[in-house]
Amino acid sequence: MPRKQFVLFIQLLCLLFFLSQSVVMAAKTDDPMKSYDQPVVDQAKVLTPQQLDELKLQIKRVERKQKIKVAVCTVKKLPQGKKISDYAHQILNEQYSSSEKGKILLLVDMENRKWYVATSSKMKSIITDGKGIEKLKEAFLSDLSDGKYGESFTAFVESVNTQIDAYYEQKAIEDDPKAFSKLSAGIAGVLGLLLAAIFTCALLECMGNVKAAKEADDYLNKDSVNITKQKDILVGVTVVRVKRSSSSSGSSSGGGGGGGSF
Amino acid sequence: MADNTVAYQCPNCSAPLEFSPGAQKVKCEHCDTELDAAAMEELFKAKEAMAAQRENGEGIKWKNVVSGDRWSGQEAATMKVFVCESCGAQILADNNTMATECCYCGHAVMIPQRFSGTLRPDYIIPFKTTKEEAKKAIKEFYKGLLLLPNGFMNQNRIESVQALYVPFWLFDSSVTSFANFHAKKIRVFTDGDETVTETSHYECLRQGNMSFARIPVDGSEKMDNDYMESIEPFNYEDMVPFSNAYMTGFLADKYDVDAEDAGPRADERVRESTIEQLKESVQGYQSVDCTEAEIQKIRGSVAYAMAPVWVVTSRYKGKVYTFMMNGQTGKVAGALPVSTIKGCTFFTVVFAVSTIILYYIIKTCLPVVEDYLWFCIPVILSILF
Repeated sequence: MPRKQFVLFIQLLCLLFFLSQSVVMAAKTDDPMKSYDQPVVDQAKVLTPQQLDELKLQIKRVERKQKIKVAVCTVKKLPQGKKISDYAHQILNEQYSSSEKGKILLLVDMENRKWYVATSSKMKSIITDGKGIEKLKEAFLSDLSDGKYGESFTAFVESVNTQIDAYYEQKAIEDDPKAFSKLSAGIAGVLGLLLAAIFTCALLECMGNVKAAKEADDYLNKDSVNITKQKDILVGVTVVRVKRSSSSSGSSSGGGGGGGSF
Repeated sequence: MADNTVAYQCPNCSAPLEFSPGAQKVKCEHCDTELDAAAMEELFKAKEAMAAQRENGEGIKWKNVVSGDRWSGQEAATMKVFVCESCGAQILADNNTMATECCYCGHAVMIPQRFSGTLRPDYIIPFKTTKEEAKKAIKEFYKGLLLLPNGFMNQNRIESVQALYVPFWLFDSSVTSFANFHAKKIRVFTDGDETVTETSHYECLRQGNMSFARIPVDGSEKMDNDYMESIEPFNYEDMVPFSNAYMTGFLADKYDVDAEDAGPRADERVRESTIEQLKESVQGYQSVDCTEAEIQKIRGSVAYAMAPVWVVTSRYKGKVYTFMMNGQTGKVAGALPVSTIKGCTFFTVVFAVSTIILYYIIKTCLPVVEDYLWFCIPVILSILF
């Protein structure tokens, strides 16, 4: 092959290789199941590039401050036959690495207009399934319903940050040895009552030892005991079957979450 | 009267069963237990046979073999009776011994009367413990009791402890017994995603003989049976034929419960022991319950004996509290009053101290165990109870 044609061929090969990597990279970024540790995966293309960058920065800031993993994913539609809660937990468990204080993911399904917040087991105790998710919902849902996706996701991340701050402030108060704990006092009171009752009953037992003799074992001639007939007959069998409860995909890893429509 | 009829009943819930002709299995409509018809048929036949045996058996009464059952004139002349002015108790003593207070109610006035005929004991178990030993035992019994009212038992009361011979009926019997037991074997295993509990029901039929010797029942209405049973047993190896000589210097209670009236108490104890012996032969099951039992006396005899007891009574807020010691073995029994103020104070102090200590322990450990808190509470309660 002449030299010029050879160089041209090599350049063409490199171009093709470069283009394929770009497609692969794009595909990776676009698919939540192939985007490892990406803070924002906008498969549904609801965010502008500027909103995407700002959101990524905000998430990185919160992640550094709180030592957690935060993720926002939008999908055009869910995989066939998958529930949004199961899919959200699957993404969170498989595509995001563990963090010191837990991880949280907001998944938005544009086709069915559904959202779901999935939390890891560590994060679940901070942002609880009931009140925690409710507070997040109050922060981001109205903008999400209005189609203001950038504002909505920003509010979501900010609400996560605020809730975690509030949690650790409360924890600091509870852990203060000088602060009074109602729960500890309640438990101690109940146990104290039980102990006092037990000790008092034990002392009352010592106040007398008069007991009627129900049997005459002391007067039995042991050598005279003669069992003349014994017969054991199996008359029937009772069988009770109890189904063991199966765990859901969310709770199998100990995580939690909540969702709804918008 | 013994129940000699036999009916088909579910061994699990006792509901009546109906068998269809030719059916191999029958299901109880109430508890869904599946029963084997052939096994039920076999059980029915065995119970019928036992019922027939019961019908043929005769329930006999206790045979009183008291000999020389009357005091001789010479013996009677050396005895007198003291009657308590307050509770009516009648205490025997020889002419040289004074009953200064009633052993039962502590009343200090005892009226002497002439001794009139009553049953003469067959046997007597002489005293083996002394008054000093009795006083020491009383002090030990009251020692260290936090809830005892102050001044309840002072030295004067301890000094007034009295030696008393208590009349006893001693029952010997040989019995034959029939009993049915319902027993269960329980097996738990997993089958796929199910936990299966399989309970096998058995009817265990037992028949046996055994004999009892000298079951004591006190013959005094004034003497609480529970107290006397609390200081049992007596060692019958020391029991000797009765002689007035053993009575010298001691008081004795006069019997006022005859053997026929005391018999049922002995019968009940024999019944319980017999069922327990038959139950011990039912082995290899997780639970065993007696569903029916019939005890028949083959042979029974009664003797009248005197047993030694140290007694002291004390009054507190209008109630009489008694302390007794077995005059042969030294075993003690007694019931004491409880000071309400001391009880409440003790309860309050323990509650306050334990609450404070537990509060600091829980506050320190709570952040660690918080996730398991609701599991810990049932575990702690199950340990305590």
